[in-house]
Amino acid sequence: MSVLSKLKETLACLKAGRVTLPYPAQAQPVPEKFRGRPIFDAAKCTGCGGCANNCPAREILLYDVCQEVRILKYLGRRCTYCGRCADVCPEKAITMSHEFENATDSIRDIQQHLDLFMSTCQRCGRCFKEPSPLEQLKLKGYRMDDLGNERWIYRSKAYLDEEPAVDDVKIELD
Amino acid sequence: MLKNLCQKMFGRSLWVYHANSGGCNGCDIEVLNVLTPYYDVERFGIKLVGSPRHADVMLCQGPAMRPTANALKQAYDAMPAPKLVFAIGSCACGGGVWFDSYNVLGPVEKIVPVNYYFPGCPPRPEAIIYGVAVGLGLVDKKTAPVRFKQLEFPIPRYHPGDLRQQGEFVVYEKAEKGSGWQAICVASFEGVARVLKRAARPATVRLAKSGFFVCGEKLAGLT
Repeated sequence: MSVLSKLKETLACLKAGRVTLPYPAQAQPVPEKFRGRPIFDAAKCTGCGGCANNCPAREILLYDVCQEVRILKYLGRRCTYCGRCADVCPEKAITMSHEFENATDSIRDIQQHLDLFMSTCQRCGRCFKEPSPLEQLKLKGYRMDDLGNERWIYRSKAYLDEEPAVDDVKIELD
Repeated sequence: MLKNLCQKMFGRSLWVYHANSGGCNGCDIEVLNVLTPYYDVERFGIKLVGSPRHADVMLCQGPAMRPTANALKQAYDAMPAPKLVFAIGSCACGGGVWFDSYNVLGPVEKIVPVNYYFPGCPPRPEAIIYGVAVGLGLVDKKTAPVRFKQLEFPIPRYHPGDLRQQGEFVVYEKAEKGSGWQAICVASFEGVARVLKRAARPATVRLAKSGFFVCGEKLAGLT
């Protein structure tokens, strides 16, 4: 009985043939709707900050250097490739590429840093104000994120404080 | 040199230990998928072992969490000396989407030193195989930090303090020459100042019907 089952198993294995994919020898195509690393197109980006407002992992930081220059920084450490930034982008400046071979020895290798030119009002030289109070409420203050420590900051007021808003948890390990 | 050293140190079969410190099992399934006959990594000598004392490489999945941080540290200390740590997935690389939860400490590099990062949620099995090859120095990494600039400093900017009263006109003094963003000041007799972006029209003296006086780059000496 046991010999017969072994023979059956052997027959099943022979019938299946060779199933191992030849991945390292030749490139493996990804599915059509596969979402890999997002690629930011600096030429199309207008700096609206919709991607930063909608990122679930808070991995896109915005920092206003002055009225004309805004820094958009994609960190990508905990990016889940959900594609929500590409969905909300009005200019289609973010594309979810098919790149998946992103393994590095330094986590800063997958960062993307965009220096954006924000056009100001040509009459007064200042930035536009959001037209309605509802749209002003949407500005939660992560236009002054902590680029040095690469942290998203909840409130813009917290940036002015001495202590950081998002503090690292310190525990004792023995 | 590092490549040779790495290949010498890990010249034989890599034995990996699979440590999940609180992930969602997505990366675990991808790592097990690597070990299945479809992506058969045992042909390269990579073998999954159950004890960290037998292992060369620790595959970390899941963020560093408060209940499991101590166990992760102990498992890392139990590994024999030439050892590598691979952080697999977004949770191990950066803390995951629940990075601000009360029991998530952050990436696993807060607890153990991480050598290689495989981002992805979860990374494809091919990405894991590629990452192991990067870790062994067989292939080069494909990613590098990118920086784009839309405009170079300094930006010619309009400032209302540079408006001067000359006669009956208001003149913008610092109209810079040769810059792409040439400011042309339009001043009216009512004192309403406006800056227009230079269009294709030539900058010449133009007295509009409504009483606007245009001064451009050619008028710098004239005014």
